[in-house]
Amino acid sequence: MASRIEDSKGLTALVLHAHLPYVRHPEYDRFLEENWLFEALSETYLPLLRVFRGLERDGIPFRLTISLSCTLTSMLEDNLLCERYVKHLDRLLELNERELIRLAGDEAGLKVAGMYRDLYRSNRKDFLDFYDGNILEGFRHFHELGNLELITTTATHAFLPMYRESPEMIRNQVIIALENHDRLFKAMPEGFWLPECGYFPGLEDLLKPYGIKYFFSSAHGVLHADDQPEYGVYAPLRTPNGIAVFGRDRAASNAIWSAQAGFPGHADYREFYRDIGFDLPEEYIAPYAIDAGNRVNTGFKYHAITGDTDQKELYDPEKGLARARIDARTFLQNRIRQCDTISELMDRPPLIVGLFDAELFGHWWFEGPIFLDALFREFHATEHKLMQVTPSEYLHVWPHLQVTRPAFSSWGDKGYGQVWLDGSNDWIYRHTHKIVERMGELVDRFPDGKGLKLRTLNQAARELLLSQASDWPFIIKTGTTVPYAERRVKSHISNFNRIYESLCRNTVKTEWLTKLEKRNNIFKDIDYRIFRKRRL
Amino acid sequence: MTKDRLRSLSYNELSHIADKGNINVLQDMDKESLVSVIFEALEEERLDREGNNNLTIQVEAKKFAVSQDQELFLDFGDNVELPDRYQETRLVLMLRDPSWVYCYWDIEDRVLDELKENREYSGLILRVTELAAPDWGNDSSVDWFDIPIQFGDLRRYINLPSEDTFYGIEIFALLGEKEALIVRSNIIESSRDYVAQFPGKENTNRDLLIKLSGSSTDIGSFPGTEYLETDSPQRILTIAGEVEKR
Repeated sequence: MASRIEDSKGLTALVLHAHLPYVRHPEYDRFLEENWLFEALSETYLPLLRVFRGLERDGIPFRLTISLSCTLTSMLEDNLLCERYVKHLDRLLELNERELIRLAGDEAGLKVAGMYRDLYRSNRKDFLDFYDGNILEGFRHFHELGNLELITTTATHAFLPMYRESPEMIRNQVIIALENHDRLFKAMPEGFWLPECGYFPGLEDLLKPYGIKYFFSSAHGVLHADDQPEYGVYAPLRTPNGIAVFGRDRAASNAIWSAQAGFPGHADYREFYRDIGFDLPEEYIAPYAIDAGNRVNTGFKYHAITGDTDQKELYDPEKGLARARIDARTFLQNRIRQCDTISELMDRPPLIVGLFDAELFGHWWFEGPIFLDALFREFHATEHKLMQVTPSEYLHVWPHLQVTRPAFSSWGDKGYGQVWLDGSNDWIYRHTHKIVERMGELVDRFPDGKGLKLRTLNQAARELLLSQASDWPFIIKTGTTVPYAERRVKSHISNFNRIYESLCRNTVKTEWLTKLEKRNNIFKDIDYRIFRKRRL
Repeated sequence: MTKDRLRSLSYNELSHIADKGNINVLQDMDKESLVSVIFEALEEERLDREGNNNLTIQVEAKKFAVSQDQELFLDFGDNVELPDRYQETRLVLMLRDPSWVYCYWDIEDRVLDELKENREYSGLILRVTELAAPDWGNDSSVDWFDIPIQFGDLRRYINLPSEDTFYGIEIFALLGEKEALIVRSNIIESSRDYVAQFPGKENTNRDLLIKLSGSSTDIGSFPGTEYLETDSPQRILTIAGEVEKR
């Protein structure tokens, strides 16, 4: 393996970051934002696992690095959410039955509706029968086979540059995540996904003590390093404390990210923005697409992108499939040409690192999982000298890397902290910084909490962590579900402050605490004493 | 946003949305015209917002797009309000990007009251100091400038004159000819937005590799991604040409 890597003309490392914020509302029978998880399960996670099984069945080798966030794995383990996902699927299948009747005689419409019937039936079967409600087993299986390198990210996906003055907090975000990963996959991850690729110089010192061997950076994080990177982004760097950092290749990434210039914008692909929740009359669609008086998406999207027009053509699944195969071939050919060019300039094979949100594949780009399937098959079937690797495999072959320190950076708009620190969301940090300080104070005052006090302090730790999710400032800035994001961040801070004040007065209300524990039940085994102040 | 959703709202609710969104509407507008004006304003705002984000952020935002009508949740009933301040004297500096920092502060009422009662008090200033090292030592200050602030101010974005150096900020009260330090921030190291100079002799391969990697931070419009199925990215063709010539 090592000699084949050394002899190759180029290497590709594709990385998918799977993450959703913790959204779980037992206090409601149904909750709209829980659909984030259900849609990602239906369109991304389960289809990806089917792709992997198909590749395994056909003996096609493949390598992928997948980062699974703790908030996502916690939701995937949660019984309530799993039960609700099955109900969600049942509702969709019921709607699909009605759609098949409504579309009788419309051959093209039936074809798309039939595609959704197959998708949701497969999802239900896989979720319940194949995985017994626990799809994490599926990821673990391919990890054990060596196809997937599983890594993780911070406990609640905090954008770390905003907490650089609280190294203890960052350390706790890291430790909690690693313990969660170890519990789930019986192995410590070698790599770590920095949320939003948010890096600041010195962050590596908070990763090193826990055995992390590498992380990823945006291209300019590497290019703007203290010293000029000898190979650009086509080889990792090593930070002064020995952790490797892999820079993102923009050409490979944008070919897939971009709706305008990249593959997902092709006219034959399914249109994301047209949904029968908005297209069909209210009296028909209301049971499936009305939430608190608002119309919502159902997931049934019948149109193709078609072009820059409102007159969208019906989606043809066969055309979508064919296009995904063409695009996979193009993507591979472009990487071959890219490596042909770059390898002339290097004394080792160039490494092309593609970093993607996992949910891009399937949820937004519906044909994304098919594209990946076709890409791995094309990789196997075509004669070329490219190889797929995981970062750990690369480091095994080339442990000696240029030592320098990357620059502050993120993969967000304009490349730094502009998305997560903006006029719309900067108010958050006054509070989250304050409660970090207060948590340390609580641990000092109650170093050995027991019984109700212990439960209260542990819940304070959960609320603190949940308030730090990068998703809330992200949503507030990008404007998708702003009231929800604002409410979430405010409620976690407020819950924490209420606990803090109750403990100061020694008047914790058991009923309120129990309700909170049931609602925000992430990190069941958390021990608040992890927040004890330590010298770093 | 859909017009249907707007039509389903009452005239008062529409007026509330227009007020909240600073949308100019005429007082005697009929409902359908009001719907049209609000729809166009919200669409324009959405397109602006999306257009201002890079590809990564645009796609990441799709994870949370479960409805086109999300923005219209008017209230939740159990709205939580956080305190504006925590009654402490504190100043925190955060690096947003190589050119801008954000700082927030608070000054205890007790201190503010003392200042108000001081006859010599003439104002508050925020002093931004460039430092040679990450400490407030006497010899550390390289340069500084002042920004006047008011009692009620609590936060500010500040443009940094230099990249790749250290900064700290302080709040001073002006008392006659004297300045009284009220609070001092943490020190941050500003970043750089350029490729470091290579100290040795020119290395063409290295320069080409950095060019190929893309040295712009404008991630969303990186050249070479606008290619169709059989074309190679333009930047690869260009650089490939350079490699062939050598």
